[in-house]
Amino acid sequence: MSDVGKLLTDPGLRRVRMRIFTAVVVVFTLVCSGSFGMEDVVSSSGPGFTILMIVLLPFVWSVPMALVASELGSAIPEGGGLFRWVRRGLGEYWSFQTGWWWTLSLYVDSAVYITLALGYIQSKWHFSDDWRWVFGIGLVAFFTFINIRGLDITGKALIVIQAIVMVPFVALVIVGFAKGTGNPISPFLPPGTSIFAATNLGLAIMMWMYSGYESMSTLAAEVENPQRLIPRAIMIAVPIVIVTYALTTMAAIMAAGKGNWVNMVSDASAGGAAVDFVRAGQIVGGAFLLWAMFASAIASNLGLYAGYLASGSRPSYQLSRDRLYPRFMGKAHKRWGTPWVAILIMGLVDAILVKGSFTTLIVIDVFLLMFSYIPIFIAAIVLRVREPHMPRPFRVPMPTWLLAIYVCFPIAIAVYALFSNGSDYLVGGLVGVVSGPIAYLIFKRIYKGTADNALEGSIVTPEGEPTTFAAEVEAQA
Amino acid sequence: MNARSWRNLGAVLGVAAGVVAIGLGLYIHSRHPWAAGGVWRIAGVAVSVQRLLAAMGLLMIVGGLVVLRSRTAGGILVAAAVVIALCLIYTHANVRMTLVRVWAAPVVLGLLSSMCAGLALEAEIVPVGAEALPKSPGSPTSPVADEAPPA
Repeated sequence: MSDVGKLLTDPGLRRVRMRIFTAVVVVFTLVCSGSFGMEDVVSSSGPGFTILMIVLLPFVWSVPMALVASELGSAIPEGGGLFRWVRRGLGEYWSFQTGWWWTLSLYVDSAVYITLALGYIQSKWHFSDDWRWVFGIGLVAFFTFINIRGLDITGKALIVIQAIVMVPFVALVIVGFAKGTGNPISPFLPPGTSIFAATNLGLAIMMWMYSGYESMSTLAAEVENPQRLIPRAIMIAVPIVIVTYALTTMAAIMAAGKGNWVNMVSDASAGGAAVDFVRAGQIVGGAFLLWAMFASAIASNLGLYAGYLASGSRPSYQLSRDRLYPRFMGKAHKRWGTPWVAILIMGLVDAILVKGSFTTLIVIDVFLLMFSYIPIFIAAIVLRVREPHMPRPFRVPMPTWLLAIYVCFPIAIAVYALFSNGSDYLVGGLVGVVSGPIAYLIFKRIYKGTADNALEGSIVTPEGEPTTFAAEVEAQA
Repeated sequence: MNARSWRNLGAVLGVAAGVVAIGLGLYIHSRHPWAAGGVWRIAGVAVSVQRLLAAMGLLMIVGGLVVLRSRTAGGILVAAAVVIALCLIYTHANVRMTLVRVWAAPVVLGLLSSMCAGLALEAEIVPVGAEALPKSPGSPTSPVADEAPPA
C-alpha cells in the first residue's frame, strides 16, 4: 500500500485488496445488474426512441456523474465518499444533507429490491404473505451477514450473482437476434405519441437505470488504493452498462415478436400477451431460457440489494464517526473490520419494510436521490475553482468552465424530472427533503460535528494543512 | 455569511413564510369560504385548507421569531409546519396540484428558513477538534471541545 493509502486508513475498518474485475462487477451491480425494468420504457416510449435514449442519455446524465465521481473519488478517497466530497466543497451542512438524502433514498431503495425478488418467487410458488415475510427476513439476514463478514466476501458474492444474471442475458441476446421477428428500432415512437410525451414517460425509469456511479465511493475507506481502483472501475463499467442495456433491450424487442413491443411490461406474471425479459426468453429459448431468465431476475434484485446494503450503510457509519449521527452507528467490527452496526440497522429497517406495501415511501426515493446529486456536481466545480492544485490522479479532461457547462445537463435533467414525475412524487419527495434540515438541526445540536482538521481518514484540510488524524496515524506508524 | 447573517435571514424567511401563508388563507377564504380541497381529518378534527394555512402560518411566524433565540427549536418549528402542509397536500390526491400552487410560496420560504437556521447552527457550534485549528481573525477565541475524538 502507498504511504498515502496508509495514512488514509480509518481506525477500525479493514481495507481489502480488491481486484479491478471485482470492482467493475461492484459498479456494474450498483448501476445495472441486468436490464430488468427497461420493458416499461419500450412500451411507453417506443422501440426506436428507447434505443436512442439508451445510447444518448448516458452522455448527458450518467457519464457526467461517472466522470465527476471518478475525479472526486481519486482526489478525496475517503470513507463516506460523496458525503466527504461535498463537505470539502460546500461545507458540513450540505454534506450532511447530501449524505442524509442519499442514505434515506437507499434505505427505501434496497427494500424495494428484496420485495421485487420476493414478488418473482411468489409468482411461481404461490405461498402466503406470512411465508413471504419469512423468506424476506431470511434473505435480508443472509445478505446482512455477508456484508458484515467483509467487503471481500460481498465482492465475491456479487461476482457469483452477476454470473447468474448475465449468462442468461447473453443467451437471450444470441437467440433473440437469431430467432426474433420483432424490429428493435421500429416504430420509432408509439403511434400518436409526441417525442415530448415519450420522453416524459421513459425518462424517469431511464434515469433510474443509469444511476449509481457514485455509490461505490462510499466504500473508499475499505479497499486498498481506492484513488486508483474506483475511478478505473467506473470508467470501465460505463461502456459495459450502455452496451448491456442496448443489446439486451433490442434482443427482447425482437424476441417479443413483430409488433408485440406494445405489450412489454416489467412484470408479465399475470400472463396474457404481456412480455417481460423472462417471457421473451421463453419465446425464443423455450423452457430452459425461461427458467434461466427467471433465476436472472431474482439474482438481479438480490445483487442490487447486496450492493446497496454495502454502499448505503457506509455514509451512516461515516456521519457517525464525524459526530453528526448517533455514536453507536460508528462502531466497526473488531474482527472483520466492517461497520457492522450501520449494516445491521439498515438490514433491520429493510426486514420491517419487506412486510408491508410501501408505495408511499417509494415516491420519495427518486426525488431524494436527485436532490443528493445536485450538491455533488456543484461541489466538483467549487473544488476545481477553490482548490485547482489539489492532486487529482484522475482528472476529467475538460477545463473547469467546460465541466461546469457539462454538469448543467444532469442538473437540468434532475430538476426537470423532479417536476415531471407527478405531483405525488414532488410532494412526497419534498417531505423526505425537509427531513434533512430537521435531522441536521437535531444531530448538530447533540453531537457538535467534527472540525475539518480532525476528520478520520482525511489527511489534509481544505487549507492544505495536515490534519490531526494524519499526525496521529503518522505517529502510530 | 456568518452565523448572525444566517440566523437573521432564517428568521426573516420564517416570518415571511408565515405571513404569506396567513395571507393566502385569508385570500382563499374570501374567494371560496367552503374551502379548496375539502377538509382534512386529524384525530377526528376537521381542518379546512384556509384554517390550516392560517395555523401553519402562525407556527411559521413563531418559529421564525424563535430562530433568533434558538436555531434548533425555531428551525424545527418552521420545518414542522412545512411537513404538516406537505402531508395535507399529499393526502388530497384529487386536488393536489391546486394545493401545490396554494402552498408553494410558504413551503419554499419555510424550507429555506429551516436551511438558514441549520447553516447558522453550523457556523455557531464549535465542532470537536476545532481547538487545533489555527486561529484566524473573526474566529472564536477559545473554542471548547466537549469530548475527545473517537478512539
